[in-house]
Amino acid sequence: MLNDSEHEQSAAITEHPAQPILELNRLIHEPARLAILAVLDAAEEVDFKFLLAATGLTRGNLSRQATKLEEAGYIQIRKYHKGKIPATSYRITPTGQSAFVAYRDQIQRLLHPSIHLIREEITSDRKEESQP
Amino acid sequence: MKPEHALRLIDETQSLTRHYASYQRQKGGLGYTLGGLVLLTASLLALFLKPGPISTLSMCGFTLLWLIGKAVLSNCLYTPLGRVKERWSPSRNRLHVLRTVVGMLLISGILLPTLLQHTPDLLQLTFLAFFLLIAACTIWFCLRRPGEWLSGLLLLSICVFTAIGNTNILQWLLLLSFIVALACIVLGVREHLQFRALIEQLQTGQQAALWQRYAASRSFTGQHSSSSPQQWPLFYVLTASIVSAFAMTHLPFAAPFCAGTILLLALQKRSALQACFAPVPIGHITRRLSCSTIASTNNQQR
Repeated sequence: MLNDSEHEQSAAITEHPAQPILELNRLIHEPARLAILAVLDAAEEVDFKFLLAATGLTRGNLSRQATKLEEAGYIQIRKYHKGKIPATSYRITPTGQSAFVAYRDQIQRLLHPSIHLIREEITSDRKEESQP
Repeated sequence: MKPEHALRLIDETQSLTRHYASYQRQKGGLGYTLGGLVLLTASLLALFLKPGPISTLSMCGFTLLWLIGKAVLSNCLYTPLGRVKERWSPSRNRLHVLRTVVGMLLISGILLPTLLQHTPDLLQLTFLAFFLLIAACTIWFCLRRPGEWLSGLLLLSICVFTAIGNTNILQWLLLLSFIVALACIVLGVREHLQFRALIEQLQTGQQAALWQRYAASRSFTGQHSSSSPQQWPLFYVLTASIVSAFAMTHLPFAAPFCAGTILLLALQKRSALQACFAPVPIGHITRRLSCSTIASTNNQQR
């Protein structure tokens, strides 16, 4: 059994200042992939051409980063033909959407930790109030 | 670039994408203007033509022409960077269902009194049912935008009125059509100009440049750590100092040339040099530290 001081020590270890940074999703943290997910999160389905224009990536880099995101299950890649011309479109998956939202939340928490603490306090207060 | 800038950049990119995507479903652009022009022409024709099969056919033709025209305009003008399908929320879907129901009730409301006055035969009833079915499909599939819905509904109503020949309500309807047509023309031109500005922003790569700047500012990815452009001036200055020191001791006549070269380099890369020697902000150190921590943790995990 742990005594009080040991409990405090373990709490101090878990609440290390670098902990939120360590929890950041490295796959999304990379700027190219972040840009791709930012675009895909705002629409249902996006063509390759628009992604190129919005992110400023090269064709090869965009293709490579998109494949990585697809392997992680964050996006779906659909290849089809417009007449005789092959085309590619991208779509964010629910997993990708939740991962992107979580990443944004983490970054915001890193920037404004006090706001998140207040929010957490408010939510916990509400929970307490709702419980009889 | 600071992390808060990254968040702003994400927001800007997302609003840009949403704006572009809105032209695929929500906004009409020049499709509205075309709708307004067609409505204006149809109203003027309805004023001068007597109700009958010719006027009904011409009104139906106008409506069909507009539906085809707006689809062509939407495909040709509003997809220069490919298709971006807009996210259609359930609330918007509900609103569209409501619009379709209201539209069908209005058209039925116009038709029902006439039906009650004259008892139609089976052929007329079949034609009426067919018309209602086509009207419902048109509203559901082709009139998804609010402006389109209004002008489309007015066009369909004019079709019905010219077919049944109720001139009392038609006059009021035509007055309303004029107002809606003018509003649609103005709205369409305004949306088109907004779209041109958006496309210019995307094609000139303003947003892309911001992402590239953001990527370049992040040294923690490891891609820019060894050959960051900010470190090059320092490298130049060090090399030039060693060369000038060598020249001073062995070739005294070359010293002014070396000093001049250093001065030129320093002037050329002044901003970069300032960045090199400027005190590093605490946030930047934390970021670098954090990223090195992430990298080491990842290495340990491997």
